[in-house]
Amino acid sequence: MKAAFPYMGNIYIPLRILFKNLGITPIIPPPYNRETLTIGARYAPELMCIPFKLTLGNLIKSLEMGADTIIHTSGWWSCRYGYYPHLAHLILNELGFKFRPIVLRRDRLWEIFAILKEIHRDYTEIIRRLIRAFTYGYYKSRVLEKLERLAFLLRPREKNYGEVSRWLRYYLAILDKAEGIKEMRDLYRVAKEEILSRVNKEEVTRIRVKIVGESFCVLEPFVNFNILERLGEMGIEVDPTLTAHRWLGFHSIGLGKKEVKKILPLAEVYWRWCVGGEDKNTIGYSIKAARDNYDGIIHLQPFACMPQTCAQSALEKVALDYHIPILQLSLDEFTQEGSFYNRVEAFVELMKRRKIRRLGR
Amino acid sequence: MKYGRFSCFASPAETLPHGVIGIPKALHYYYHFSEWERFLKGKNYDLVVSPDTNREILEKGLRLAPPEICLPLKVYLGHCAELKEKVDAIFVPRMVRCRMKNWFYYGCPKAIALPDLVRATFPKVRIYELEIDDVKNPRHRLNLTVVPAGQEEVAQSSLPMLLKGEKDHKIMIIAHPYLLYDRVLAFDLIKKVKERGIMFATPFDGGQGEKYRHAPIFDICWFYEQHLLSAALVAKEMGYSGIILFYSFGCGTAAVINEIINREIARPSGIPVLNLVIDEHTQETGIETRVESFLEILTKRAKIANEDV
Repeated sequence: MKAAFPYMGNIYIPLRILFKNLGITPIIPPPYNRETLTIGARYAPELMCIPFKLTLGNLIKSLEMGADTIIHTSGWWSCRYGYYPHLAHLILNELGFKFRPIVLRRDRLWEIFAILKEIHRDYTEIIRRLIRAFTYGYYKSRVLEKLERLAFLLRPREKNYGEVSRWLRYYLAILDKAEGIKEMRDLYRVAKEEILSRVNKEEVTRIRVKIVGESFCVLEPFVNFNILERLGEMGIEVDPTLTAHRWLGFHSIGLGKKEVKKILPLAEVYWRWCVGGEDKNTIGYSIKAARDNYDGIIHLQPFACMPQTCAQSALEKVALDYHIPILQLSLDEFTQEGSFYNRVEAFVELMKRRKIRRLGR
Repeated sequence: MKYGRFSCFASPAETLPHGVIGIPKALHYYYHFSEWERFLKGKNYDLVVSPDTNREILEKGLRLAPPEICLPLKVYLGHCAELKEKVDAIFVPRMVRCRMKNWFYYGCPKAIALPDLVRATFPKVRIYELEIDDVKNPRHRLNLTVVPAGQEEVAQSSLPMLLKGEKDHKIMIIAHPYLLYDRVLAFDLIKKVKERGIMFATPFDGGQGEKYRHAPIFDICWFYEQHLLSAALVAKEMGYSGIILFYSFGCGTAAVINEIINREIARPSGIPVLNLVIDEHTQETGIETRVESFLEILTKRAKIANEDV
């Protein structure tokens, strides 16, 4: 079974080893680029949000690369994310692709066993495989999380421009190929030693920015024009609320769920019902950021995302109530890098002046 | 026309013992006004309904709302701004879930988040919030019916849904009532079609469509959108000669629903579809031209088909 699946950012790294250990060959096309976007935007509905357009383009690419199965996650709730598989299958069928659709839903998780039964002999084998796949996936995503967090921390402190990003890219490529748990653990140790010798150690006051918003826009560097890296290289400490590890839900195994449980009640005043698209988290984390004395919030959302457009006005209210500057950016296939960074740089300048004025007092 | 059973829960902190309550004439008003009226009158409140949408209300809404949100919501905020001086509280329902055929359906995210949105936009205005959720509060029940309010003449003149065997062409206008029946937003689309002497139906008239209405046909869990899909199915079964999809720019559900109507219903059965998108910059002439040319095409098609016979 050669499986293709929609992904974002670095999520393909843990998913690749997970699928491999389950006995499924993952087909992962090259990272998102102009071409995937053009293909996706041509066939997707016009008013659909950008994650659907990009993932559709990528699915077409992977079907051309020889995938015969498409694995989607879906659900039964109000956000449009629940309808991605339905629409994607309609469009791909009309384009004449032959594939087997698999839709995983939280309320129908037992279907996984039926699928795995086709590949493997018996249930003991399946359970053994599942345990191994999830252990390996968890370890890999944890190392990935550690590397990414280290990069966010060290990027503003680097001695030579772009060094940390180069280092991260190099080690992520190695991590993608790593097979054993010991190998992954060693990799992190070596990587950490290597980079720590090449950064400034003295402490300077830096601007800290919280990145909140919809998961795809925060995680996928092609959509957000690599804002996490670029801000780091401007000398700003970036703290995204979502990373690959967190999105995959592996952090709940490492008891990270406690943090989210603390965050959600904060948002209760502004947002009573979680609709989808990380709206309640967005508001909760913004309030938390204001309480933790962050210098600003950047809110990323796909254009016409249903939950996040509503959350916009609630977020404006949060920014007014807690006196924290906020930059709201919506992204779609027509967003240009120039205009995007114009606004981001102006916002950075604003935060700098604000910080200077505050410290001066 | 009955529309399943909703259960409701009025948040006790924000209820008033008595007073004047305002209902904005937008969004849910067109679905459930008679029901809201009965509910609030039963609790001894005085009701004030905002006036019909006009240019002034639209401008107010545009100033207040976030720029990317869909047009009906902007208009809703405009109506709230119009009402807020005159009333003690504004009535804002939160349509979360309803149960139909032993399965539950959600409202659109914007309908769920509406009270939060109004509260964030008007921090000082009191809100009478009614949470309608069949799963969380199944005890308090309220029967909701869909009666497109104030449009009796429209309902009378359009044809019953399941008219069969007619030779002249008839079209289906698929749109939410808050767009279709709002004179300013829809630029009197219904009147335009009527003036040209063309038979049409909307998803909300004729009681005979019931058998389609309650059947969850597609894997779609928005309850208002089930109406639109069932109307499209009726159009296919009854041999309608055209479908007009009328929706606002930025409507999230329309992106999904229209794609399904186009690809699963209209294209296999060969029904031509006109996509009419409106936003606050749409001009009346643009709509007129497109509708006219679409109707022209339909007439030509019918003529060619008759000649072949």
